[in-house]
Amino acid sequence: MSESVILDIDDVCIRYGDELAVRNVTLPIYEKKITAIIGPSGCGKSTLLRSLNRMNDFIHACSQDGKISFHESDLYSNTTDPVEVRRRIGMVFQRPNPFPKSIYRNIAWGPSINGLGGNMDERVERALKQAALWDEVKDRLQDSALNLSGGQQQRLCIARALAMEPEIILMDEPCSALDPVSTARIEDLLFELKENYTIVIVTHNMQQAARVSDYTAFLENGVMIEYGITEDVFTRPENKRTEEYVTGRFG
Amino acid sequence: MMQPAKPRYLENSLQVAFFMCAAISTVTTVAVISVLAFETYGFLQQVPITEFLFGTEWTPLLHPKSYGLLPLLAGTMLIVVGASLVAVPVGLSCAIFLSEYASERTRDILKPVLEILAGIPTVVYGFFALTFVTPLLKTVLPQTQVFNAASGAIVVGIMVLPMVASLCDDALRAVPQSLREGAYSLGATSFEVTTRVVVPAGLSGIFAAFVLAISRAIGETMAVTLAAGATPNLTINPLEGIQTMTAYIVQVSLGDTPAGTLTYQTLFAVASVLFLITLSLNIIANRVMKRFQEVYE
Repeated sequence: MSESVILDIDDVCIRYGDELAVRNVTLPIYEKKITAIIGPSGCGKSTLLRSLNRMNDFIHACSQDGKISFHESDLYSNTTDPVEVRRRIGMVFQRPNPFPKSIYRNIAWGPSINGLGGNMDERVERALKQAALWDEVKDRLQDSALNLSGGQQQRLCIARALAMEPEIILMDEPCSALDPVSTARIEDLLFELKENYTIVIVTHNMQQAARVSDYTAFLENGVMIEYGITEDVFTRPENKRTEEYVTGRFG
Repeated sequence: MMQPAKPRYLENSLQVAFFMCAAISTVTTVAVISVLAFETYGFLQQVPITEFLFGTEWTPLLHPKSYGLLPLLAGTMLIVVGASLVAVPVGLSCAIFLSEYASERTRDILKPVLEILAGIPTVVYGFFALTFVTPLLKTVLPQTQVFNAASGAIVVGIMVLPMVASLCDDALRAVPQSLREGAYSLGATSFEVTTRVVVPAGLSGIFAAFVLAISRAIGETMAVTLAAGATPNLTINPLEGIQTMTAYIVQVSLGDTPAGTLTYQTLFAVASVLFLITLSLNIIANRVMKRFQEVYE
């Protein structure tokens, strides 16, 4: 394959206390592609995703083995600054979590604390346009972000992540709290973002994974059952469990 | 066929008993307010309200008698400001530590310790101010008087500290974890997450905690009576002796002032002012708290 691997997940195990949530997962993430992680609830897909920008650091009982390389340097080595990791690998969460601040300040927050240069107004406008939210909010940038609808709030959170110009965006079931119309808008958005960003999306919506992703990994009980090009995984899966799951026979 | 309803004597009488208990607290409040209002009215018949509120001499026990509240108000304010200077920054920092940095185990030790601090009788604080804080102040600032506002303010600050810390901690912990994660995911450090997302998001709860602390500092009696003295003094120098409104009430109550005299009525006039101030502060705190509860529901 000609694409380059930006994140290399190598034999990773993640534990919550005594419970093994992710078991020996090995998975490449290709640059400027969309990788979907699918699987039934509780299969460890969110846990795996959160390990990619060290968000599990905040969960005390959580421990991890194996290696994750980002541009060939170890994400978890002692010399790696987790704050720097999160600057370059952004995240969008399951439920929209805008700050109780204005729309403008939500977008400008990340760049301003990290001292990113350039014109802030332009940066905010660019991020909102990329997230397809600009036309709806351009006249009320100073309004509270909490006054937006759920779908708008989630696009605001995507814009907030984009304003940092990360290399990778991790999305943890970004549409699970949204209605179908908002979901469709965000899926359209993903296609556009693929031009410039690497995206890893966790979803339990099979159609969504099939529609938007280039590669798909199927997890069950923390074990990666199958990984491959999305079309192959959905049309001619190698594993029987995968076939049963993607055809909706369980899960 | 349905049985005719039997009279339920026990249940009915219990209902009356519960109602009586509920009524006691309401009736007491109304009675206290009525007595305060009645006696204050009597006082204001003899002393014009302008002299009472804006007069700069408070000598109801000496000749010539004078009934200007400002020296007592100033004394109370000195204590409040000084106590806030101690309790607000330390209390908020303590809450930030408890809520954002401490491990569960550290919390489990620190929280009960704070509660013990809150349970110390206030007279102990007064004694502590007189025998420990004042001598300490004197070694640093020799001009410190034996009774002074500063040592009273410091111990009142320590006294309200647990309340400030505990209420601020509640306010910070009410900020959803998802906001913290959102901030971390943008490359923020713990310090930035705390100071620029969590504290601003919990600000109304923090503000309410401050107002309640001020309200308690104003009403605080024993420690300031012991430490700050009984000299009505219109000053902003914390090293001088002063008298707070509460300390004045103690002084006159302990004396043998005959009921019905003007001096006796000053007690109620001062108490009314005290009551109005703390009542309005508590109302403000409640309003702010309500607003803060609505944000995340």
